[in-house]
Amino acid sequence: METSWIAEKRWRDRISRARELRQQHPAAEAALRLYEATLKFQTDVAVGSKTLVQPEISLREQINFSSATSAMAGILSLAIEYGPDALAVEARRLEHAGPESWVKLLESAVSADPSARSGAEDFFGRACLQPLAENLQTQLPKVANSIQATCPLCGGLPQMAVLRPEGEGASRFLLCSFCLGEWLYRRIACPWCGEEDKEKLPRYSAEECAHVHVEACDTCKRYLKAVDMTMDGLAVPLVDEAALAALDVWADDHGYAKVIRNLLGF
Amino acid sequence: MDLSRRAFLKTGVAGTVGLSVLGFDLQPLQAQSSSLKISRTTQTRSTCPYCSVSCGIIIHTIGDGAKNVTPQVVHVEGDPDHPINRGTLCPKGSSLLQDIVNERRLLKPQVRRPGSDHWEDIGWDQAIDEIATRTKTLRDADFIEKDAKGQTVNRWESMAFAGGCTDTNEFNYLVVKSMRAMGVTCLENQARV
Repeated sequence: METSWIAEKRWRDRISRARELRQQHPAAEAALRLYEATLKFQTDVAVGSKTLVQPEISLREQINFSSATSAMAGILSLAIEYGPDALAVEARRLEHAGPESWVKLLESAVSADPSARSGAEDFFGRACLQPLAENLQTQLPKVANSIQATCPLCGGLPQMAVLRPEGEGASRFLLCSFCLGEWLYRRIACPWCGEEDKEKLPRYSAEECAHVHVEACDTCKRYLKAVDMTMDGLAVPLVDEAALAALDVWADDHGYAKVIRNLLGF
Repeated sequence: MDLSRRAFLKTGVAGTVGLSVLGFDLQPLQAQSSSLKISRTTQTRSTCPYCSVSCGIIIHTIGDGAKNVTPQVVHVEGDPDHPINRGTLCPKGSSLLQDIVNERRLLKPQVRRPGSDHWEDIGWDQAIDEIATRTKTLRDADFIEKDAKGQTVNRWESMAFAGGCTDTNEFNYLVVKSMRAMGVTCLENQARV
């Protein structure tokens, strides 16, 4: 099992990066403020959970439901304090509905695809489950798999890509929206529809934030954002992707759509 | 979770009008998005031209895909998915961008005269005339029609031609035809791919 200080450091790095990027990206300040608070909450959930993984059972079946349900009260009150009005309203509704509805929400978040629940429910569910799923995922051997568009460890959908140095180039890893694991996926190919014609796979990047770019597919009109660690080695992929929500707005304006949003709904 | 490709539904960025899915005001992000200078690049897998290892590369070209506009090469990197090199490149491969786009590229012929310490510009016509004259003079002096046994060989051994590995097939065809026609036997090209 991962020593706890490694896991804690990983979360602390995410929190520091969120704090740093709030200054650099004022347009995303509100979202990053919520995200920073959420990351602190998720750190507590991660550090407080010490479940040993059982490799022969699927990751999702091993999620500690009682830990997730106890955590739910925390994320709801956090959303009321830091979230936008619409999210706070949903949080109050769920607080009032009580733990039985939280269990149903979490069951949906673990087993169903994201279109089965609202954006707010997706946020509450993933905020509680991601740290627990990541704790399990980090105990499993890495899978090198370049043909699968869904997470080889938990079946989750990728919410973004990370480019990591590989020789004089960069390998692309997809990052799981559920367990935050990464797996290798080949460059210049659409994970959703399999398109490999380079003319249909544009990369859009902005000078102002060159280390985060949009990788789009003109065949299926879906996209992912990618954080390029070869351009900024200090980036924290989860957080940098979230901070550049302006690129999601740009992509949306140009007819592209994500398959699964990040935790902040972008 | 078993997801077929058909299940990859799309989700937009807006929840209700002007607000994101979680309810954040989209206006500041819209403003930031409008101010970004976005460029569109295409990534093309290719092969390094230099040696027989034939490492994979990815060439990034910038352009909006408009017809009759030559895309500009802006970056060349090792191809991480290529089984031969897995993204690694030697110094020659790493500097391929300079091969394609380089401010210091020679744009006109130059000559350094015997004993001189500098290069001078020379016109194309004059350069071709001087090369042709020297070629003819040297070939007239050194051409071997028959060897010591009286066999017809038609060799010219005091001339060699050195090409480069980035020379194209079309150029190399002309090299072989012209040099062999003159009797040159020493041809080197460094092409290995």
